[in-house]
Amino acid sequence: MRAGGPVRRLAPAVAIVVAAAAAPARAGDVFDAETLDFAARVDLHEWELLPNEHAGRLEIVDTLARRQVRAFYGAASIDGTSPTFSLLEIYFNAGAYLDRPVVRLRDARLQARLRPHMTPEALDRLARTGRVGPVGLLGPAQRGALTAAGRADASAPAWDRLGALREPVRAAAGADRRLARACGRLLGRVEAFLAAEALRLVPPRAPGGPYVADEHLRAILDARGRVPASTAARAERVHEELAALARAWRQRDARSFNELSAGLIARLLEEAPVTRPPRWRRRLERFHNRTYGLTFAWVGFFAAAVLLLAAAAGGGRRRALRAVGMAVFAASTATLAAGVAVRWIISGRGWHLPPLTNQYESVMGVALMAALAGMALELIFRRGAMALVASVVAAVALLCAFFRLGPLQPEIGAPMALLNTSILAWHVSTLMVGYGVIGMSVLVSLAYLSIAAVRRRAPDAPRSAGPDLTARPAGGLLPELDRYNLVLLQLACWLVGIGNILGAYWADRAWGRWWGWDAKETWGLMTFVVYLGVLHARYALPARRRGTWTAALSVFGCAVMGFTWWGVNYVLRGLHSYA
Amino acid sequence: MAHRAHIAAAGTRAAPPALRAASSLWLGLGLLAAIFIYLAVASVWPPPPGKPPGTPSVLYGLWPLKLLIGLLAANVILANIVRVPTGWAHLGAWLGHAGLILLLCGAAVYVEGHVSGAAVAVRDDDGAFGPVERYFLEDTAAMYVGPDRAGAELLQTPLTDRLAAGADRPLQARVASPFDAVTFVARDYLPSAELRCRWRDDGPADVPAARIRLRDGPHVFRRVLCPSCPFAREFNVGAYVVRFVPPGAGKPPEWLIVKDRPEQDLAVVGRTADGGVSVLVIGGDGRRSEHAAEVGRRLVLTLGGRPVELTVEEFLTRAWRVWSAYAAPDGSRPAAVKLRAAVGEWVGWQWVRWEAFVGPAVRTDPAAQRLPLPDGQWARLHFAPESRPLPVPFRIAQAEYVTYPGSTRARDYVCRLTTSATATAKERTLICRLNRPAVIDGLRVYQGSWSPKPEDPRAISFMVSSRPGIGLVGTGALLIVLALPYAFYVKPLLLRRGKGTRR
Repeated sequence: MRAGGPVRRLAPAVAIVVAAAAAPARAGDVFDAETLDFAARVDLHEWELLPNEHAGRLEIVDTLARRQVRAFYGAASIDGTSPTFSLLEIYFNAGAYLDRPVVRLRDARLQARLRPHMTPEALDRLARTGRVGPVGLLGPAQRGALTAAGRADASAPAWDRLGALREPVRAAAGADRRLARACGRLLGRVEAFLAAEALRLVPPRAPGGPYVADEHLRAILDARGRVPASTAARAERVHEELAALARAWRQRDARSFNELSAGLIARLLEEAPVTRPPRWRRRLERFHNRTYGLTFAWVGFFAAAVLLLAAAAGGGRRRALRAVGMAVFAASTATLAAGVAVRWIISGRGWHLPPLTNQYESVMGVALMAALAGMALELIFRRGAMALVASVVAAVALLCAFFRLGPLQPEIGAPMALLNTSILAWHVSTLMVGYGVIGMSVLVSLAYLSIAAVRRRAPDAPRSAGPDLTARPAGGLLPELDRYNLVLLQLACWLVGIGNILGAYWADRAWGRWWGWDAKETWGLMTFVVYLGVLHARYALPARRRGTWTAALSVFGCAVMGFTWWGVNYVLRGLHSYA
Repeated sequence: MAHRAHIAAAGTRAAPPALRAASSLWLGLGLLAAIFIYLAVASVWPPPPGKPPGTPSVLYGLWPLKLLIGLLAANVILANIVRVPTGWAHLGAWLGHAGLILLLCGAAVYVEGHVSGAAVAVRDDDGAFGPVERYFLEDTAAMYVGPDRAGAELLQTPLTDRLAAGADRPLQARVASPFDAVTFVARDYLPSAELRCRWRDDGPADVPAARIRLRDGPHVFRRVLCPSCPFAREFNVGAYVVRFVPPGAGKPPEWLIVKDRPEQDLAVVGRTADGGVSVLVIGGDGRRSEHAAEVGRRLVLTLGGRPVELTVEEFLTRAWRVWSAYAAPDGSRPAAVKLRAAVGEWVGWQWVRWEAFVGPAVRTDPAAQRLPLPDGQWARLHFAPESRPLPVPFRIAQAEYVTYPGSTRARDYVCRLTTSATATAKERTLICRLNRPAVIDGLRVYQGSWSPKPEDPRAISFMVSSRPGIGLVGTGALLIVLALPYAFYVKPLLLRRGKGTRR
């Protein structure tokens, strides 16, 4: 325990009062009452901030715990304990949970296939919680052998013992592809449950070396005699300290655990003076974790959209509604910008590499860029329309990020070596602005098409933007929407063009050619071609059809952009694909 | 608006109808749509057989796409001449269209004139990287033939044009031969070949071998043991080794000296004077026992602590191993070429599998094929990309695998290159890293793969390329980037100020 600020100093006293007032801990679905009682007594505050290496980045244990527990359990913590406690309990005591509902099993068909193997207790838990224990997936004979072997401590290579799982689970899938995918996910969750090596806490002795796990220390001890004596001695010391911690944890001896962990953590931090992130950054990371990376800003964008829509619909309080809507929009944009900035800072990548290196970050990037573009355009047009469509785009994008739809994972990792360049920032951020503007234009287009369909007649539209962009055109709402659409399409066309050119410049530096017909390059070019076509089509079409065709082609262009952004990565094969 | 329409109409009125049609906006839009559809189809078209997934389709290189792009360029040029008015207000259209034409011209120069390939540096046993003197051209193919001895020069014969002519025509390409009186002809080609190895007994020289059959528990092995073939000298099961001693080698003392792994049992198959089989077994404990048998008769031996049935099926006197090939059903295998060798009346052939490089890196690659020749020599055969000498050879002075702090994950791959002193270039040091290529005498050198382990590479590959026309491409791109905002935002301002168009 370390002395901290006033809040920290008061914490034990508050804890005593709260503990005295609280009822005795009740057993949860996974943890028993004794474990929950232990969770209330153990101090994991410093554990949460301990640096741990993952995917090339030194993240804090709190981040690891949230990701790891979510990976097998489906939520960031178990039975209301903290994520770090949940992880450490599984890490130190996994053998006790082989038959508890810790692995999420969502697929109903796979559930049905696996039911014949399961015990009545496992079936009951599955029905109640949607989760199973790894042992519950085994046949009776395998289950007996495994339970006999058990998992007494974290030192055992657990996956070897549970390797028998693969066969019955895969057999349950048979030749069904979808079931096979579900099986793969299920086995991945079991593997995450057993991934003790994920705790890479032990810092290097030299500044350039990697953080290692307890498994690695054991390998060093096995190789004693072939490694320097000082290395072996340190490995032995740390390994024994971790073993003592594990013993204290399993005996539910909170006082010993707190004392031992305070000593170990202080030494681990002392031994990594160069590589570990500063304490303020680690605390910022914990704040980021607890606030979902500020992605809850989608609520603000949604509220801003509702207010601005109400203002656009008219009524007596039009000005007031718009002012409030704009204020909420601005506040949400600031919150989102802060979230992106926090993510940038805790990633530790440096100024040259903003958080735009994976799909999750690109979705956040589109939300932010759309909001900023909407704000900039709103400063020109001042009618609330640009802020309205930007709010909707940002809200939808952030909703996807908040609920982690599809492959979106908020993990902050070190980018692969080829992406470690500032050109990425220019290339991707330009395209993100472009995609955000395309999202705005498609909303305007849909509104135009809907209104035109209701009125059954579209007014004449000019070939290109008139001399005064900001002047309200005669003829009412549809000409105004058409003008907004034209402005957004022009901006999108320019930004997509620049983004493609920057991509070619980067490819020239990275791959030795500026163009290679990679799937992403091809579809990026096709997106640009669509928007060039839309803008040129206005010169060829008769005045009465310009607005409608522009809106329709804008919707088509958005679909092409969507495929370029997402579809290419997951459907086609190429240098940008994850397929 | 009306004023601008009037000007445009005035411009087109004077042009002949054909020119007006060729410069029409509808034609340009149609061409853009056709290009869009063509690219969409090409992006989902499967890669050529034998190429890895993600390889761009051949459709991108075919004439229809070039024709569509050419027609679009012509349409843009004609539209500018016939339809786009002059004047500051229309500078954006002129700049954008000029940028597009420049970009397409640059692309044409690039496609026709650029070289692109790969070079490999291999580390020797001392840990130093050898010199890089040649690079291998992308999308080319050549046959390499040379004597099978270290340091021997390989003669290359380009096959690119012959293969590009199409697989439906039989390949008949003379391949340069470094051997007197031996002619080589590349006969057949499979873009995705499944190779199968078998032994024949009609080789050009006396090469003794024995075909054996082993039953070890549930496992049955059939092998040819050929002491003079480096790839078939013995059959090592792990617990025991089986070898063949040809008749000419004599029995004692060679019969007894071949056991170089004391812990394993050794069975040495010999051939007796009457054509029978004699097998000497030397156990891990040093005990020896000799067993007599006949060709085709089973012999039960104790090897590796268990009974093993050994049958010598036949003795070969002119053994050679040939590869036969058939088209891979899923198209996922590399290509192969059949090379025919003729010396006098003897004719031999070998299927040769495609390799990415030829050099020290592939010295132990099983894909490297050998062909025996009548005079006792072996020819070494490679089917690989064409190679060219680098303008200035270079050497890796230092290779650094840079990691993120506290991890083993790569942050950068950095090579310090020293160019060799030649008549054309002084010796100098260059840095080549990811996203930052080194330039050596006009060629750009990029980081490639570090294998087998990036932390301790034995071979480092580099991409090598030139980029003619890049100035035109860059200028064109810049013009497009400047033209679009001019057309979108400056033009309305100029129109507002009344500085319209003037022709």
